[in-house]
Amino acid sequence: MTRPRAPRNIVHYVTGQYMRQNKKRSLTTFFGIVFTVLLMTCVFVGRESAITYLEEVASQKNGKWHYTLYDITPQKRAELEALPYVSGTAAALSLGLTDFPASANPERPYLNVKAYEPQAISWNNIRLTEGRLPENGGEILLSSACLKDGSGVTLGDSIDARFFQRSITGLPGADTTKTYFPALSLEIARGETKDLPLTFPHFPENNDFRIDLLWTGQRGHYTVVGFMEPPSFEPSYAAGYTALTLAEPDSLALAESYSLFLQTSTNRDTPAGALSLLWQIAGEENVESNDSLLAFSGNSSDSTMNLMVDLMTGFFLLLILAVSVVLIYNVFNISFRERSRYLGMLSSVGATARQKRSSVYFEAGILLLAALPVGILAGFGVVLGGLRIMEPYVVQLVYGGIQQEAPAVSLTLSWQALAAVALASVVTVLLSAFLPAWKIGKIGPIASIQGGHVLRARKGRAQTHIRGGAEGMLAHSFLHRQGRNQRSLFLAVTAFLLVLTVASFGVSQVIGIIEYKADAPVSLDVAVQERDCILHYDRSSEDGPAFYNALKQALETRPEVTSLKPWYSSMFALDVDTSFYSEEYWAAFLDIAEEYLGQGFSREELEQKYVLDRNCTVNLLVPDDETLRQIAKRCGADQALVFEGQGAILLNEVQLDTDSYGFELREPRHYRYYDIQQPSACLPGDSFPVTVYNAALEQAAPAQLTLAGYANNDQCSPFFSVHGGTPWLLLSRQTAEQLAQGAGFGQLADWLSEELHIQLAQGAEDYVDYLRQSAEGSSVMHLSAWNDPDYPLSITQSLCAILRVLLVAFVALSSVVCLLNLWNAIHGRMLERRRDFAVLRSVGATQRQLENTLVLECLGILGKGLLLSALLSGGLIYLIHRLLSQLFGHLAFHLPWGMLAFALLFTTGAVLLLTLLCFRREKIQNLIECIRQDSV
Amino acid sequence: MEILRCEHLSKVYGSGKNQVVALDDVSFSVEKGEFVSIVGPSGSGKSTLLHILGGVDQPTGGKVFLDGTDLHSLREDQLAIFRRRQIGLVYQFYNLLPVLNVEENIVLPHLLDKRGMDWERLDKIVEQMGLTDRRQHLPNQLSGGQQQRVSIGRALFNHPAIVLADEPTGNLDQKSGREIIALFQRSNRDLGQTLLLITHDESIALQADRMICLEDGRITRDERIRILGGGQP
Repeated sequence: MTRPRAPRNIVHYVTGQYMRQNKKRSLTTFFGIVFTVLLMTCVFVGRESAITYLEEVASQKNGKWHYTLYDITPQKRAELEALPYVSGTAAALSLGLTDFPASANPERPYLNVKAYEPQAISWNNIRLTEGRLPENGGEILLSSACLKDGSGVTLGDSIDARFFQRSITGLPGADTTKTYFPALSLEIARGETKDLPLTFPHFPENNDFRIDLLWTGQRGHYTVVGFMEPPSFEPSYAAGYTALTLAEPDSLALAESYSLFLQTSTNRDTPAGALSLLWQIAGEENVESNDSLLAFSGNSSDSTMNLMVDLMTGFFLLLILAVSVVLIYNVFNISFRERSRYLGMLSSVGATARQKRSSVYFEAGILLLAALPVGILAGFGVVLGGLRIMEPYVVQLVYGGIQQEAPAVSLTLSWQALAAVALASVVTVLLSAFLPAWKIGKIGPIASIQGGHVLRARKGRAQTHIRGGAEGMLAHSFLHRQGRNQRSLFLAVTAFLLVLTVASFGVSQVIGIIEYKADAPVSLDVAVQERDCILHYDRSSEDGPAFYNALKQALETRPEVTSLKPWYSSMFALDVDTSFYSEEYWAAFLDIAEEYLGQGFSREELEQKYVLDRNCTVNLLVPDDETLRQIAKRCGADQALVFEGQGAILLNEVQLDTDSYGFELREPRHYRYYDIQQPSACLPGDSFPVTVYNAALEQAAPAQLTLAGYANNDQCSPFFSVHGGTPWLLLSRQTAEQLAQGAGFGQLADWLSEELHIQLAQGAEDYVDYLRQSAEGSSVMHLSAWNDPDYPLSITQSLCAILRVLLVAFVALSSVVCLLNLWNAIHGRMLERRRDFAVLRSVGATQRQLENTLVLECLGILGKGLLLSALLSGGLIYLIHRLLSQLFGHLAFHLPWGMLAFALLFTTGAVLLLTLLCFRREKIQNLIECIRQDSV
Repeated sequence: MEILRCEHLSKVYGSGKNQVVALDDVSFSVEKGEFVSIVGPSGSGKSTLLHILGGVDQPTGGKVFLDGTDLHSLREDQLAIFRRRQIGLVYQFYNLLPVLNVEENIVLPHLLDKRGMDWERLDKIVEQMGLTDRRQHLPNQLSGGQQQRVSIGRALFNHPAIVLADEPTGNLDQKSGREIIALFQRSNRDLGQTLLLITHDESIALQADRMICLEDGRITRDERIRILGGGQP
């Protein structure tokens, strides 16, 4: 007879048997670890895939190069190539312009010929529309824009090139002293001569300037071998179509200088000072960054973006680690009692503490081994799904609303990312198993078998508590005298609340910074409700006011229109004294100046040096009286002062940041953002001097206003919201008209921009089409309406949408882990208490009474969890706020109350529902069996 | 006056080859104020019978009438309410709630019945059970005998129609066991409490008014006990 082989390690064997017998518990632990691995995969693989995808989308726009350096000599190229983080270079030699007799567009009579190294062609996303790429210096690829313009050039045609550059000279007899080309940042004075960039447009002869051709002496003979889509660097206004040929090594060696495309090595290894080093070698003005590509790879020249990428990664990773540790720790802790029984048995027959500990680690290891591949594969699925959801926002972000085909979403896998997933998962599981293993190791055999640790012998008496009837007494006793058994649920509740609150706060702060950073420096956004339309007109057009007033008059009698309210507004409309601003405002302003100048200026020095005539400006908004009255009521401003005196309401919404200021064309050392709580030193009732400047009369009219009160965006949100670094004053129309008259303006619209707020009658929605036709037909008016098609998302909206998708994905995944944790804790607790419930049933407790007891217990645990999570999340939120304030400047402390309320309700609902669900699922069918199970 | 009657009770566990007949056509009745002991060897069906009589287990066949109510015709929650009012159950392993102190464990059925706290009754029971100096101790701070006394106090608190005790001395030393039996006797003698006690200790069984013997799930003997020599244990 053959005997079964004895197990090699009896502790592991028994643990295996235990796991088989407790399949539900083992499965819960398994899924807990799977989710941990899944979340880790989302962080590491997700981050890498997302960045690669974003880079791919971004590189479709400008190319795959990270920097372009101009005017690079062969020596400088060698110097650049020697930099450790430079992974590759490709030269592009600009040969100059040449005549293009085949052109059918008189404004584009030239070819702009460039000789590229093969790598440069590939890095610039050259997309063929016909033919092939050039294979030598005698072949040429033309921009298909010339074909679109009607050129008859075909493949195989020959082009003889005689290259030239251009210069511009201001003519001595010109009408003006200077000629400006604002879009090209060029100005030319009379008699002055400047070299022109190759992309400069073609101008016919004129009286102001003359364009001369400077022959370089170079010639070339090319055969057209292909046509390409116009490359991203070819502006449609340029005088020449782009033509690419292959750069031969000889021609590069002979060239004095050329442009160099440069790629940095594995993206995030690039040191922070890389750009400065490039500046040193090539000269600051000769370095161009591919910012949309660099931004996504975390190497942006904008350090805020880099920091955001790092912060978000670190933030999510830490939270996931914490949630996972709590989940897995809870799973082991819940099975502590069952486990300690069999380990107590083993201990009584000689198992050492180490052997007992190894049981926990063995179980953790086995489950981790099985969970790793499942979690990683599930993580891949989640990452792909997430990328698909983000795809439209990414395309929007990079192309700003231009329809583009995005590259297919795919996973980017590297062994480093997978190793990081495995390592982080192992660390999480080991950390989670450590404490239960340590506790198991310490427990003696008798205590283990008796389960004496479950309810430690108390010293002294337990006060009788019979308040709240039997249910109250039971709930109180279970909570206060068996606290250790509630710990798992308590921890699960605390973790759930903590994750939801901290994640929502962290991300809302980050979104706040991005929203501010990417938004326009100053803005006024009017809230458009159902059937609201706003009519604007072009003030610079002579016909604008006439068209506008005619339409306004026509609308006054239309039955489709229920109200017509003109609003007036203007940026920087009033000058105020520097003393108008508060110390808080000036402190922020000084900090921002310090970031640029670093010279420790005092406020006095700064005002003298940088604030013109020691005056500052404020923006002005004059809404209709009814709206102003409602705002005044909402913010508690003195209405009599607003409407009968020279009263003004100041909007307490001012944000300053380093991006909206510039000092001496310098770069700020860090990005700094300041949310100013109290921008003005004036208090309600204070009078302050203002000046209205009339540019037509070149005169400034002084006046006096009185502060009637403060308002904020929340109070104004039904009507409008403002944003930016300059405060807004709200005036009544009467006050504004007085100021305008005082400054010599004929009417208010001569001073401030007017827009007409039109409310259509119910059922007259179609009238908007007539309004739109009337406005757009005039070409000097524009109508915004509630039913406008959605505009392409702005960069801010896209970025925030991506962040929100990330937040939702993270919170959803974490919530699943937390729910699993809750379920596990609740289920474990129910199983442990089956005997108690059976005893209670046997002495006459009804199902409803037991449920009431459980609800009371849950509320008690929720209360305690809420208290602890409030303390912990309060601390963490404070730390996050401090950290972000350190990094970005003074941020306003806005708690996302909505999210916090949701977190509390969701957690409470989840705990109560899961508890009742679990209790009903585990309904005791046989009282005696349950009572006996644990009694024996 | 008849307080308990069971008719043709049967209980079968399992099916087919694994079928075990725990009770087989058991019928008897108990008069109010009677002290009945049920004896029999292990596996004879004593505990099963007691649990069915106490309404914590269901019979396969037959009926149990307690104070005129057919126990097993009641719905689950009705049965729970009936149990807490009419039945006092005492188990071998006490089955106290470890998180409740002595007082709380004793008053538990009373509070479950949503009645106001009867401190007078509690004081009396605590005193009768000899637990005056242990009122606020938790079960794990008590000896086995003390825990069983708490369990008896809990069973008696609501003046149940019948107290059913399943080997209440089985887990106790001889001295504690004697004390517990004395408690039962006193409650029977002084308060007229109907008692049904399961034991396999013949000396304890002989202290009852009546003894029912069970063997293989059947009643083999049901007789009154004549007390010789004054009847004190």
